[in-house]
Amino acid sequence: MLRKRQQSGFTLLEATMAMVLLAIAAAGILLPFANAASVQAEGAKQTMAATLASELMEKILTTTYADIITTYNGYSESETSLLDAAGVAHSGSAYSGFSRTVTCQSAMVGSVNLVVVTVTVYYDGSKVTSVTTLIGDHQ
Amino acid sequence: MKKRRRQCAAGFTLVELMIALLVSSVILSAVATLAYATGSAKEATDEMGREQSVLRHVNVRLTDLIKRADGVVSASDSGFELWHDMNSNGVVDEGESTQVTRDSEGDMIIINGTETYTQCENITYQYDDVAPNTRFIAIWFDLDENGQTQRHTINAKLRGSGN
Repeated sequence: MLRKRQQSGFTLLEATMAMVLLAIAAAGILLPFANAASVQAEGAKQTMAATLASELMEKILTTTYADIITTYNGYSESETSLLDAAGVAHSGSAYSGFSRTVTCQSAMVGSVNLVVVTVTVYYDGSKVTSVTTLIGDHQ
Repeated sequence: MKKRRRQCAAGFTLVELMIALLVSSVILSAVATLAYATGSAKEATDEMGREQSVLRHVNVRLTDLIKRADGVVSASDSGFELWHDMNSNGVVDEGESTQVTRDSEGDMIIINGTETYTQCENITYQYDDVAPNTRFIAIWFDLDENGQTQRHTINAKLRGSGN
């Protein structure tokens, strides 16, 4: 008699299956939300990298042509010393993790002297973006 | 007496009801917590998206204006005036200048008096030289990022030939 009464409830297997189903459903609903946030953060990171690359490139463009290679070839800024246009280090969480390097090479096109400048931006040591420009002596 | 008790057993006992209530309240509170967390996450993502779009828009708009400019008509702490020589006559004609300023509190970037970016605050302008010899312009401004103030900067060199 007692045994029969116990059998009228759920078995452990049934309860476990219900829990597993519920967990799968919850994960299905919540995963896209978590994904959206990380996509948004990735976009912000890419925007920041592009801004940092063009910022440094504009600074190089204002340098006197003869000084570009000596000043900027092999130039690099570590994760804590990204300098803005006034030479002050960028502060704030949006800039943390970013670093920049510059390489310059002289190139001859016909009889015209040019400098190929490449600015590369890294996040946590891995490359995010790079910008290359040809600079001529026309200032 | 014995018959009545058996009838009672057909429904829920008080203990069963209490357990059911307890379990459902635990589940409901878990669902409510999740819903709240999702809601605030959505708000934070929206806010971040808005801030990012302002940053991108201001950046693209101002660097484009500066890069295409042929010269700087005037430059001061409160703003500058760019000259785009559209008819290539070397003179600043009517409609060829674009003013970039800020309001009296140093907030809000204003382009030509009508186009405003209200989210930008604490704006400072800096130049490599006084007008009309200015060839490089840097702009700093604060943007609110989920309650945190973040300083941003835009800089660009004038590409135009005029001076």
